[in-house]
Amino acid sequence: MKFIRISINEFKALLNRVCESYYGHKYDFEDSAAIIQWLEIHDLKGIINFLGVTHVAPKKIKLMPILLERHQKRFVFDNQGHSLFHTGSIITDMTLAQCHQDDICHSKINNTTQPIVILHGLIKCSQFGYYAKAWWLETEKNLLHFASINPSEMYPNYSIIKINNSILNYKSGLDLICSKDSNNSIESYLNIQPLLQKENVTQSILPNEFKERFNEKIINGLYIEVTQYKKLSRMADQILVEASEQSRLGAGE
Amino acid sequence: MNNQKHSLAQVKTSLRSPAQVMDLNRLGSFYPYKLSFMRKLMRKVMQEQWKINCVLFNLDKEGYGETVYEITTPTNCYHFVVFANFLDNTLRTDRVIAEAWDMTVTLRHGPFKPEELGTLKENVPLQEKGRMTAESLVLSRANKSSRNFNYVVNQLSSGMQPCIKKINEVGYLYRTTAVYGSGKFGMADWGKLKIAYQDFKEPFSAEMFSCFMIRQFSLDQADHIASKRAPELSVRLDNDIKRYFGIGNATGLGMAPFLIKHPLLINNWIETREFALAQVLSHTLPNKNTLPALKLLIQRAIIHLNEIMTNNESQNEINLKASQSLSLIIKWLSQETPQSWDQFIDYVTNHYNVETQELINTILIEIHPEEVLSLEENNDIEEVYELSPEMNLMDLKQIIEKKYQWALQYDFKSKNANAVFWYRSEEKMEPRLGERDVDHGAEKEILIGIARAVEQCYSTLNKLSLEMNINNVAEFAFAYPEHRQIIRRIQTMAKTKYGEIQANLLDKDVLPIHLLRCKLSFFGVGKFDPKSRLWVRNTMFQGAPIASDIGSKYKDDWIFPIMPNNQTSKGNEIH
Repeated sequence: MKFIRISINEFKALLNRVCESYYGHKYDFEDSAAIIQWLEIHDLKGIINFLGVTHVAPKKIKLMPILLERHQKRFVFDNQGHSLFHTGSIITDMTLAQCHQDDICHSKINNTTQPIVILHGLIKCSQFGYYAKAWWLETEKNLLHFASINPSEMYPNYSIIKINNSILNYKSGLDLICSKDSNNSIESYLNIQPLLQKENVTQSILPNEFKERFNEKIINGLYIEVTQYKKLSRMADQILVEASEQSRLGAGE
Repeated sequence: MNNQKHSLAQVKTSLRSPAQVMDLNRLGSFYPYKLSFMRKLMRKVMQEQWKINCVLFNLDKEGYGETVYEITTPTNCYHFVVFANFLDNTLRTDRVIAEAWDMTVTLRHGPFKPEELGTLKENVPLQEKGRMTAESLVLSRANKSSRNFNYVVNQLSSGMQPCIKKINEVGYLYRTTAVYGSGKFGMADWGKLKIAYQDFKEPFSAEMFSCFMIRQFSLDQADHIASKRAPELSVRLDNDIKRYFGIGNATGLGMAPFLIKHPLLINNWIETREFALAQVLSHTLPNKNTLPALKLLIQRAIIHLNEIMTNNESQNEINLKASQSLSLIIKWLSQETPQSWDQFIDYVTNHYNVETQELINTILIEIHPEEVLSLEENNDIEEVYELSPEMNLMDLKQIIEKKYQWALQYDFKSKNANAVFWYRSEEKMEPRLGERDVDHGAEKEILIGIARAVEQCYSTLNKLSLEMNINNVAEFAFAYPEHRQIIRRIQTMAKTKYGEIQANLLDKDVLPIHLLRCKLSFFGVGKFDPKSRLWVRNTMFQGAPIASDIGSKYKDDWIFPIMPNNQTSKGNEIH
C-alpha cells in the first residue's frame, strides 16, 4: 500500500473542499469536514468511514433525521439509515439545547450508521460544561461501545466492551446523554452500567492517548493511503471551475 | 505625559467603532505600522542577534546554482535554501499559474545536511507540484525585476554604484509571486511552528523571514555576478543602497478569501492596531519631544509618498493628495499647538480624507513606541466557530440587528448587489472573480458573501410562524441546516469588536484591492502599485537592515523609506 504524507492544515483544506463539493451549501459542510478530520487524526478511520457513505447524494435527497418523539428531557430521532456524519452535529445541537433548559437530555438515535461520529459531539457537550455519555451496540460482534467525557475536557474516554449476548435488546441505536450532573438515573444507562466493568473492556482509548495521537500528527503530519487521497482529491476538484481566457481576466490578467 | 494614564477599561471605551474602522475604503487606506509583522520580525532578529551565515554558495558566473544560508537563533537553527535558475524572459510572469521562476527557495528547520540537497533540488523548483517534508516551514519563489537587475549588475561590474533614482523606479531586484507556509505541500503545520519552532510563532513570521532572505540573496547574487564579470573593476553594492532595496511582491485575489475566512484572526490584528491608537490617544499628550517627532515623520512621509513611482493614475492621485494634505498639516502644526492628540485627530478628521487620517494614525503610533510595544505579542487565535444551540431566536435576531446592521442594508434582489461571484479556478485553485449570469462557474461560487448569507438567514428568521414551534438555534438549524454555518459565525463574531469587513463582496463595484492592501499593511508592506482592481505590486523590507547589520545598534525607524542621500551614488545627476 502506498501512502502520502500531508499536514493537518493541508488535510483540513482538502476536506473542506471535499465536503463543499459533496454536500453543497445546503448543509454545514465545514462542520462535516471537521468531523472527518477529527476522526482521521485520532486514528478512527475518518476517511474510510466517510468514503463509505458517499454513494448517497445529499444534493438530491434530504439527509436530516426525523424527530419521532419529543418529551421533556428526551428526544427520539430516526436517522433513516443515514450516516451520523451527516446529522451528528444537528442531533448534538438539539441535545445540548434541551440540556441547557432541563439540565439533562437523553437522545436516542435509531436507524443510524457510523455512530462513532458521536465522539466528536461529546467534546462539544464538554466544552459547554456538561457531562456526556454515548453508547451503541455492534450486535454482530457482541460489542458495546461506550464513551464519556467530563466538563471542559478535550477528549473522551472511549471503550469497547465484549458482551455475551444481546441482552439489551437493542437495534442499531445510539444513545446520547448530556447532563449537568455526573450522576443520572436514565434507565437505559442504568441498564448498561453493570457491563462497564474494566475486566470486560477489550479495547480503550484514554484522553491522553487521543492527545498523543493529535500531537504526533501535528509534528509529523498524516499518512494517507494514496488511493483514498486520490478519491478525495477527485471529489474536491469538482468545486473548481474550468479555466478559460475569460476566467483569467477574473484574476486580473 | 503619564499623568494622563487611564485604565485599560477606559482605553477600551475609546476604541473606534467597527462601523468606522471596518469600512472597506478605510481598510484599504491602512499603512504598515509599528506592529506590522515585518517590523516585529526585524526587532526580534536584531534584538536576539540571529546569526545568518552562508554555508554554500555554489553559483556560476551568471548567478545560477544553489545557495544555502544557516540561521542560528538563541534557541534553534534553520537553513534557507535557494535554487537560482535561468528563466527565459517569455516565461517570467507574476501570475500564480506560472510554472517556472528565476529563484525558488525553502526555509527549513535544523542545520543544513548536504545529502538532502538532491531531494530538495527535485522538489523546491517544482513549487506546488513538489512535496516538502515536515521540517520545511516555507516554500516560495521570486522573479527578477527585468528593469533593475541587469542595470544594477552592469553598474557594479563597471565599478559604479547604481543610480538611486533609477532604483527607486522599482525598489527591488526580485519580486516574490507566492509565499507558502502553514502546512502547504506537506510542510510543517502552523501548530507545529507554535510548539517546536517558537522563533516563528507569530503569524506569518516564517513567511516574512523568507522574504527577508530572498532579498538578502538577491543582493548577494548581484554582487557575485558583478565580481565574476569584472573581477578587477567591479565594486560591491554600497550598504546604504542595499538597505534601500526591498523585495517586491505581487499579490492577487488569493488574499481576499483569506480575510473573509479568518475573521477572528483579522479581529485580533485590527483590535491590536486600534488598541495601540487608543492607548496613544488616552495616555499621551503632545509635548516638546513628540511634537517635533511628529513633524519630522510627517515630513518623511511626504518625501516617501512623493518618491513612489506607479503607473496607476488613481494611486498617483491618492499619493499626491495625501502628500499635499500632510504638507497642510505641517503648516497647521507650525501655527497651532494641539493640547491633546484628540484635538489633533479631530482637526485631521474634519479636514482631510480617510487616507490622510490613517497616515496620521500610523505616525502617532510610530512616535509612541513605549505605549505600543507592549502589545507586540499576539494572542494565539484558533479560528473556531462554535454554534450556541441553546440561544433563543430573539437573541439571535437582536445580534444580527445590532452587529450586522451593515449587512441588512443591501438589497440582494437588485442585480448590482449580487452581480459578481468568487470561485476557484482549476488553474492552481486560483481565486477569481466572475460576473454572474455572464461568466461560467456561478454554481461553484465560494461562500464569501457574508452580507448575503446573513441577510438570507435573517429573512428566514423573520418568516417563522408561531405554529412551527421553533424557538432556539438548534431547532432552527434542524429545520434549516443551510443557515447553520453562518449562524456559527454570527454567534462567534458577536463576541468580538472587529473582524467582519463591512462590505458586500458580491457588489458590482466591489474593490478587492482594498482587502489586499489591508492585509498587506499588517504584513508591513508598502509602496502599493495597483495593476488593476484585482492585484497589486508592492515592496517589502525597503529600508530595513540587511544581514550584515545584525549585531549593530538597531534604530527601528525604517517606516516610510526614502532614497538614501548617498555620496557614492552619482545617479542623481545622471537621471
